[in-house]
Amino acid sequence: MNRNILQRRALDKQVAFALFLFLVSFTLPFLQSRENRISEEFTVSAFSLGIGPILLLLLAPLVILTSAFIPNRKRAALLSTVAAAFGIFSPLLVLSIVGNALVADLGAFARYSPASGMYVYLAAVSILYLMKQKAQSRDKVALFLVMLLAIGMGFIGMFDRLGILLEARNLGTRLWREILAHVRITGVSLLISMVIGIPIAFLAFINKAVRRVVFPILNVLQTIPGIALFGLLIAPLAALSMAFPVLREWGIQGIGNAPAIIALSMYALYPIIRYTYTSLSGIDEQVVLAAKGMGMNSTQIWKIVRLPLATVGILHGIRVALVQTLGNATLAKLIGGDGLGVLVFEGLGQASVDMVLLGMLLIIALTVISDRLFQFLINVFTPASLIREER
Amino acid sequence: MRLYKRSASPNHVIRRWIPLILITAGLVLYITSSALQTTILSFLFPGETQFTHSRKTILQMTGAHITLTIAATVLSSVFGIFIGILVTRKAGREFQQLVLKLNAFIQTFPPSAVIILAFPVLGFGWKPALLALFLYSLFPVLGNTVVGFNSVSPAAIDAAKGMGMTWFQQLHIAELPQAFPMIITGIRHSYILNLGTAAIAAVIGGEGLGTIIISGLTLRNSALVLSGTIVISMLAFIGEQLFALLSWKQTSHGDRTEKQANMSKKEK
Repeated sequence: MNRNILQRRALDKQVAFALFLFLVSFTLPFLQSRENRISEEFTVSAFSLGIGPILLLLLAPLVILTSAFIPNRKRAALLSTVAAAFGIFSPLLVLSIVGNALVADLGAFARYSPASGMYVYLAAVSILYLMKQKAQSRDKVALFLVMLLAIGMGFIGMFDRLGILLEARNLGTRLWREILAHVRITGVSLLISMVIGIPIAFLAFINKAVRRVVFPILNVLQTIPGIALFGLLIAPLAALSMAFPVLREWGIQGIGNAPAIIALSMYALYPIIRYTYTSLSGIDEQVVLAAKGMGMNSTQIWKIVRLPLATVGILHGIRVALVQTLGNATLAKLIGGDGLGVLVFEGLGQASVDMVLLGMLLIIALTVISDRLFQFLINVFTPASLIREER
Repeated sequence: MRLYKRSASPNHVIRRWIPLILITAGLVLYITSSALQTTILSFLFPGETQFTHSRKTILQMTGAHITLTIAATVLSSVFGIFIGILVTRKAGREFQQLVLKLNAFIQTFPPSAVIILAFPVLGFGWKPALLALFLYSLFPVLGNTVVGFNSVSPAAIDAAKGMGMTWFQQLHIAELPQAFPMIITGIRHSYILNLGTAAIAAVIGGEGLGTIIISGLTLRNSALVLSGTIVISMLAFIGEQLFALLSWKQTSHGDRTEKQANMSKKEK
């Protein structure tokens, strides 16, 4: 009983914080429209939206407020699920209705996009999700339904004039090409750093001299800002391709994708070597001794004991390297590489907010999706004995 | 645990101070004399003709870079420690899960994304750059502060309560010394992060050493890139050394060290 009261109080504080953020979001401009992609924006605050949209937006905060006063915990949880789902759906609906009305008399190139108020609103909603101890399947189903609904709205043309979707349509097949290039550059550099890094980590584990050489070099490499590592390779690679024309036929020269891939794989070496080494040296010596006592020879110890136990740590290293490389691959554009960085820096050059946002959102989506996929893979590969230990 | 093993022998002091002084002297010489820059860079890159930025000197850019980095680090330290203390007290404990989850989520964001996303939301200039750096580097400090205070042994808190300490005394006499190494690690991480990310800030109008690096990239001139990188690397080294000195001084503080060593032994 006592514990119950404590948990209810805990919910109340977080609800108060979320409500405060909702309140802040109503004082900020909610959405903005432009006559064309680079012209000055007109912002519209939430108060001047009209009675219908305001009521729609108030739905989520009101439902969550009601849920805080309901003593029955099951019903309160159900209400908070409903509130969170509405919190995502209603701003999207308001965005499309008000936005379409706004751009109707602004000409053929007009567009609308969300402004700071809507971002704060969505942050408040995400607190509703984050404050739960563990995401329930009900929440996931609700979220999935809202997503389906939003995609359906997109199909019937309700988001046709949304800034980032207009940019995506203007880019057409180029968008797919850049996404694929981004994935390819990341994949190739990750593969290179795995092929080089994992054996080095094994050598460092076996041989102390290798360890003394490798780790100081990696530490120095890590302090060089990512943006600089790209540039430092221009001159050496240009000189190399001048000296050996064969290399230029393979695409290795001062600018382009090759130096980007080299720099990215150098940068990804650190997490891969670190994690692999740590997971190898972190294996309990008792386990190895027990294996020796059972009469295993050194090959068997590696195959049956060390490798299976280290696999999870190595996969974690690859995951960290993957997330980092996906982000850094944005900078490849600066030395003439492809990938989503092309969109971002073109957008920055043209001061086109929507294009920058499109590129960045795609990069973040790629990062989150690949992170989740890898997490799933790691869960599959975790030996049953380790899972039991964690509990 | 490594921190406690160091003793204050003069040998250690020399080994810590000499590289720090040498690198600082080198940095000051390099950023003030353009003749030195040209000599070094023309030796390394004989093919290039331009060795300095056309509009700004290295000194100006270094000044802007240091200002941006230190401002962001100080801001994130103050706010990070404050919020960290808040969520580890009884009154704010409910928000701890939220903070830790947010921390894990923000870590998956690449630094370049944070800087570049500041442009659609906040526009061009050094203010958006500072805000983006602050928000991004807040989380290492915040996360480490929370972990540091959570790892304080309950026995020490009980003892402090038993001695009749007030809330504030308990915080800064009993808990802070034990959480301090962890917090310093967080601030150091935030400083190094800011130093590198401030270079990217040049693309949204932050006027740091990123300016010369990016103009080197667009002109395909490695010498310019190296010139900016040398300074950033030296700044990183100096920062690392200073933070190492700070945590070393703190932990070598006589009886406090002994107490901590005993406590960690008992835990084992």
